[in-house]
Amino acid sequence: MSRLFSLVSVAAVLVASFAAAADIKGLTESGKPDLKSAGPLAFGPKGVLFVGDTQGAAIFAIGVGEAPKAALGEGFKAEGIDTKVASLLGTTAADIAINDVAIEPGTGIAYLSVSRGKGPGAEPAICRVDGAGQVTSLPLDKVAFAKVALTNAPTAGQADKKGRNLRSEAITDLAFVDGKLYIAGLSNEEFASKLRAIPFPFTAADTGASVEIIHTSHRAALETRSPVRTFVPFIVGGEPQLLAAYTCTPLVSFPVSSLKAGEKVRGKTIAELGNRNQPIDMIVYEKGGKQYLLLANTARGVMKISTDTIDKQPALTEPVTDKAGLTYETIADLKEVQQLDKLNDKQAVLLVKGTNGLDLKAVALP
Amino acid sequence: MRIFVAIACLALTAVATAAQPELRLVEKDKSPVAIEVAGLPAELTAQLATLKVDDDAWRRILSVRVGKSPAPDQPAMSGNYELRDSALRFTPQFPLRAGLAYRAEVFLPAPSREAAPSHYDRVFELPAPARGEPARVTTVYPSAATLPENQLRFYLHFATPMARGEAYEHLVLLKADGRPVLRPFLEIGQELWDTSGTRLTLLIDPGRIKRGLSPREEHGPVLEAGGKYTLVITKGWCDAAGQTLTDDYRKTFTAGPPVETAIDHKAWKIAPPASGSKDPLVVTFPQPLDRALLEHTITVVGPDGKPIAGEVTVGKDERTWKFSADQAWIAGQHELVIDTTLEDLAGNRINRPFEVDEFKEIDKSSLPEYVRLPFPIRPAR
Repeated sequence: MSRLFSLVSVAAVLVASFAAAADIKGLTESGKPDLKSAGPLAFGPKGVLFVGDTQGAAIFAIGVGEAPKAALGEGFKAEGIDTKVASLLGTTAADIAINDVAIEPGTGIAYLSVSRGKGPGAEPAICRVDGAGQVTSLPLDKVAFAKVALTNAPTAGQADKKGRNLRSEAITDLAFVDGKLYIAGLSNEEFASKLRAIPFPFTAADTGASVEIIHTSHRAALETRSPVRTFVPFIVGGEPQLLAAYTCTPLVSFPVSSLKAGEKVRGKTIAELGNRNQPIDMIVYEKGGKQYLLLANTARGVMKISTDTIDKQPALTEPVTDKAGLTYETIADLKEVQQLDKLNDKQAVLLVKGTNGLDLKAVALP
Repeated sequence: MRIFVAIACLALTAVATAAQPELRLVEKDKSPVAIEVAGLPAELTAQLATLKVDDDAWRRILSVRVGKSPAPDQPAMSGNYELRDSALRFTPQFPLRAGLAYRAEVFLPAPSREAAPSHYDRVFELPAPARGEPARVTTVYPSAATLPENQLRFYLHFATPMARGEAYEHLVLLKADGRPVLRPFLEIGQELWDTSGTRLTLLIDPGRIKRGLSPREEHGPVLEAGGKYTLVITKGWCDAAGQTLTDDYRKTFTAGPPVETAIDHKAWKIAPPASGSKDPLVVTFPQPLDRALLEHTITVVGPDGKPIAGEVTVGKDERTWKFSADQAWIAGQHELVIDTTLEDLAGNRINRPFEVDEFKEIDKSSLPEYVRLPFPIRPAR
């Protein structure tokens, strides 16, 4: 034994034990979740990671077990993270997609949802990255988990002549607030907004309230159904709100209390972020006693939005030529951002396009 | 389900000696499933047998990396280790990929203080997968030659499942003069595929369709009535098997006036078939409707109130809907039950246009989930 371990030194445990996760309330099953894809991520109660599964039309709550000790911190940078993740999963960077990045509160470890393969048969993976840049893969064959199927998902009778079911709903964002998981989805057929609120622990009888979000335009009082692309919980005037970015440009707010099944909810437009604004991700943070939103965007970089006046902000009802409402600045040195999450009070973690693929890095909150 | 070990036909990169361990590929049903090393010193296998399954010591003896010459800092593949008949077996978390090379390395502890540790490696090159049906676009909907200027979406159908993540690099909307329209589409990271990966939903940026929003105020609508446009799906787009579209696909259309009113289902023309026949029921619409939604939002209910089984065919320009019942029609009162999620080309629904003018008298109560259109099938004479 001694000779073997003189070579292998201390036997570090790379793959954490997941037995402890079975004790987490709400994770009612253990074994291999039938995850078909791994998309948006959100952390819930301690040790619980929610994973949006668009391909399987479901949400999974997965116990992630004990995290590595080395948290991401100031100056963290893992270059070519896509190549590292691909290597770990036994393939090339061109053959994977990193779909989302979430930081586990309390541990400062980054979790990545990954597709291994590019077609509909791509295999889902959840990887984590520690502060030393070490990448490990969660072995999803032995976890504590719970699953909830999304209501309004296509039914068997909706198959086409070849027996294929073409209708699906892309899960575009998740957030966990006060015991409820909020889920934004975008249908690949009807132009409808499905914002669901599902209590956790999941119960068989309650698969969530689906509400219709209405956007009132700035001219002629035209209102439309408006799919929500990304959103973030926020307190406005003491009331929990969701700040949401629509598929069209406006940033809107609506109170969490208004999200009741079957209700039509009119989001209050609080900012027009201008043309070519196609939002990816948002976080909320505090700096100098003021709260800000940081919004990553496909075409316009990262915007820092002041929320000083958000509770006094009247709904925008007049036509605007570009930006309006809450003021914002574009952070010039944050470019090619693919994903964004808050690391701690002072830092954010970004997934950005670098010179050699994708880099995962920590930056100071602007 | 026979498991056998394949050692032939594979390049062995380490210098073979009588004493060296043997690295080999394990196959199951002719697919590679694991890599193992046999011929380890008995003392070492005895030590390995005492390790926990998640002990890092396993991977310090045997590690597998992607590529013929992986970089020194490249992570080893994730997977499980076990001892099988004195051989150390590594089963990767995900299957080995056809067409890729994998380098397996074995590090053995030195037999004595004076001796050096031993290192062996071997590259396994997996054959590329057989080429399947070539990637190609089969059709694009809507099929009409004139589309409203507030057209909301296209459906792109492909012969084979396509690769995700590169759609918007291969989609261009050209004006009549050949210049591209600036950012005409809603670019969604997830891309809106069906679960088979053969149909992509492409939305025109709703910020350029909805009135009163800055993108439209600034750049105008994507489509303008009277203009001629070509949607180009450019070659080079990979399918899931790595084959590319070899030709551009072009759909040319003219933009017509916007359609800003709700679908008027009461204006649909229903041509009932004769009782006793298996002729199709034909419904004709005044305006084209959404191709995908027409496939599953209309149900035919018989006199007994139960849905009738049959096959739907959507006709020319998405203006007709044919239903061929599995059984012969019986006389009596029938109904079309229409799911109000049905939309036209501009996203207008039954009883509710895409944009609702709040100043007009519109019933703002919740829409019913379904509306019904009764029609009789007369008894045969």
